[in-house]
Amino acid sequence: MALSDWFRIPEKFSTLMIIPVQIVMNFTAMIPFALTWYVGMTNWQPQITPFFWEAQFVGIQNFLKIPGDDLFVASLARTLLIVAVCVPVEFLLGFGQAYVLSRNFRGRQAIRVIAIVPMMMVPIVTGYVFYLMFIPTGPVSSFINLITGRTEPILFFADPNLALMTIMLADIWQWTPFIFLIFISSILALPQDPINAAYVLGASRGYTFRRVMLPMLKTPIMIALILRSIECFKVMELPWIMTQGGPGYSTFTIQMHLYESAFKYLKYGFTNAQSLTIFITMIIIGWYASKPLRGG
Amino acid sequence: MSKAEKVSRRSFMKTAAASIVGLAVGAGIGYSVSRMDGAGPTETVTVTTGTGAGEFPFNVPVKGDTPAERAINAANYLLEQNPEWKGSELVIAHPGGYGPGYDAMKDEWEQKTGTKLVHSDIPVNELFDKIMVEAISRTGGYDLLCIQPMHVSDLAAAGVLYQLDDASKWFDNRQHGKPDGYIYPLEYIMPMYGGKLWGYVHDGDVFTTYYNKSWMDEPAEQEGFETQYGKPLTTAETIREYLDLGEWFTRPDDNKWGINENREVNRNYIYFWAYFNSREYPNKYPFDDEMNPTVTDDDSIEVAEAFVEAVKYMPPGHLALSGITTYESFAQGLIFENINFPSAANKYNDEASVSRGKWITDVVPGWMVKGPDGKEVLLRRSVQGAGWITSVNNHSKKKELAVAFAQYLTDPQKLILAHLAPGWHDPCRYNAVGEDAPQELKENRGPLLPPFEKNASIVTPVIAGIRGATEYNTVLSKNLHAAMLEVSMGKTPDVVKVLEDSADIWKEITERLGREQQIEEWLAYKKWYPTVII
Repeated sequence: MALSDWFRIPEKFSTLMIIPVQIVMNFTAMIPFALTWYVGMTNWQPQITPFFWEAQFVGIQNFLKIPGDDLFVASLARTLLIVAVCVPVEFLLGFGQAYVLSRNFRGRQAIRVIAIVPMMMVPIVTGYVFYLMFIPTGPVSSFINLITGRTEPILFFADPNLALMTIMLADIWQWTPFIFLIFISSILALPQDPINAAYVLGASRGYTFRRVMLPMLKTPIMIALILRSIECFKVMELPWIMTQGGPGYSTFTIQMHLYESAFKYLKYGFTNAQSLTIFITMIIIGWYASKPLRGG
Repeated sequence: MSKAEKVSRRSFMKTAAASIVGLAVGAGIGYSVSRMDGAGPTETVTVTTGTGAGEFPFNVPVKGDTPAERAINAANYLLEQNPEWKGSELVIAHPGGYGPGYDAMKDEWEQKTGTKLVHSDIPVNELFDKIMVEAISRTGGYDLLCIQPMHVSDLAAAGVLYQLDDASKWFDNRQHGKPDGYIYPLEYIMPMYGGKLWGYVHDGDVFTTYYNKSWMDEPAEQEGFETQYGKPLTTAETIREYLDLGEWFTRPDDNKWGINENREVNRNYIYFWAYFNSREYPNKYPFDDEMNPTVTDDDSIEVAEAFVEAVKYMPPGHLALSGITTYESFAQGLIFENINFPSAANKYNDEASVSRGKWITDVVPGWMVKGPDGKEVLLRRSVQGAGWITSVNNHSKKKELAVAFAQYLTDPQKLILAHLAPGWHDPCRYNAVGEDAPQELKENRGPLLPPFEKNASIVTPVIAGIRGATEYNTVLSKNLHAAMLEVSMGKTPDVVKVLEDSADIWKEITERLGREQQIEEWLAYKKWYPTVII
């Protein structure tokens, strides 16, 4: 086979084209991933051994210790609570917004653009804005006092439940447009014939929505829920800026726990094991959750 | 939807071969890059061999009457030996708020050496994390590091810091004694680890107690307090008196409160140690000589109960505040007292402060304890709150120049400029406190300075000098914060559980880091705690 064959024959050329991408991916993803597994099976702490290859290999011990790490379990539970609250609310609000704004009316384009502005803000900025809104001298407390007649400021960040609620509100405000974006494009791309046919045959608006539109939106619904759940699970910027995980541990998410465990407490080996455990768990959950998408 | 085409064996083998080739080439490129000059890890250094010992070119002529002059002359010599450094920059990583102090000092250095100082501001809660990455990445992106004493052990053990014992002797940077050395024992409890010197102190952060004197001087207050508590209204000698004063002056209806210490979630451990360290003579240490936590005994429980009780005398929502925002209420004239950082005086003495001219400071209160002769004695211990030292990054590409600059920045006279500048450089040398302090500094800091030297003479560290110090302190801080939260909500926290949970985690930390070495480090560090009674 001549060298020129690699450039003339499409099959061979496509193979050749894979190699640069493969190199980059291996260098930036696969090798670090393999190292993560290795380090997760050591007790590496840089103040004990500067290099990870000098750290003691402990096998799966780190993984076995994970259920006993109360802080890990509590942070994970707290993060799942955030996901369980935020994602459905974002879904309902985003879907509703998309449904309403999918209709034809004057100014719809401008309103659709405005609707996605929160998503374009940097999460740190969103966090800081919400922090300023909810401090005792902020507008939220003042407004609530104005309409209820209270005189004392509301201490959102000094109450564990209220602090968590502010984090959730910030997340919902920022990421509802993401759901909106998915559904506005999906709804606008729906074939109109079945929908019009349903109306012609006397179906009500609600019936048409439930029995005609929703089934056609099954795929974007799954995609929106899976993507948003994965992203919400990684929430860190908002509690980092707004509460630093406090008061106490009430807004301490799993990402914050992993960050602190690795970069403050320097437990690189153990944190790697925890991260990999979450990674594998998410893959399994994602695999099963996306089954309807693969079913065809 | 069409069926997926079956992949032929040939196609699979081709793809697999391409992947393996890619993997091999990628690994080869990665390995090659890691071996390039300046890109890979530097030589392994350990505490026992002495990081940097002998690396500084000690044939540098020592010329100059002051540490700053000697530093500048040494720098110019180094620049002649390394002309590629001329006109370059030295990057210092420091927490937000320290820039003005460094800027106030840098002018002479920049003029006479031609090298510039570049700031890398990092939020205080992230400083350790970002600097610690140097242990792995070894980029040398920072030349100088402004770090806290509790960071020293981990950073030094991980090879991030350059050892400065020899350089300190070479430059004679006035480490000890009057008239302008460091106030004892700051030069020991702050920058030392494993018996070696890892930085030069530039901010003592010796805690003091602030009082609203205008409230204290009111005859009605004096009479009422004495009637209720059976003792005169004066500055507190004991923690109990401190809390009584806080209770007396807490009047929610008048928006007046007794206390406003910084009890933020990640740093309230500093204030806990201010209550704790004086509970036993000569000091209440956090560990015994076998590195077993001592925070679960009856004395510790009493301290923790006092610590969380103080929350009742703080303004609502105070636990959610952090940093300098916690100073605001005292500056607004709403608070009677607080045990706090010396830099709070900058805020309280500000022209916009309602409290300006109305506050005083005194020695941190303590406890009545059994003294050395078995009799009850008042034992007071201040705490070295955060405290900052200038260290040299062991991976800096201009290490020797950075050593000279660190020397310059902690010259006794240069530091006065930093203390006068806006920002958080607090006194740490004898020439900046007491009667001999410059008049301008006395006016700038107000009533902070008179008892400063006394507080410094009894200063104790937070947990420091051992590896894992950041973790020991932060774990305790978070657990205490949860307990304080319950007090703020009108509940009674289980402080015993808080202390026991913290102790359990401390034991795990000790085992993980190696008990034998932790014991060795603790015993080497513990000897620098003060033993005086004032």
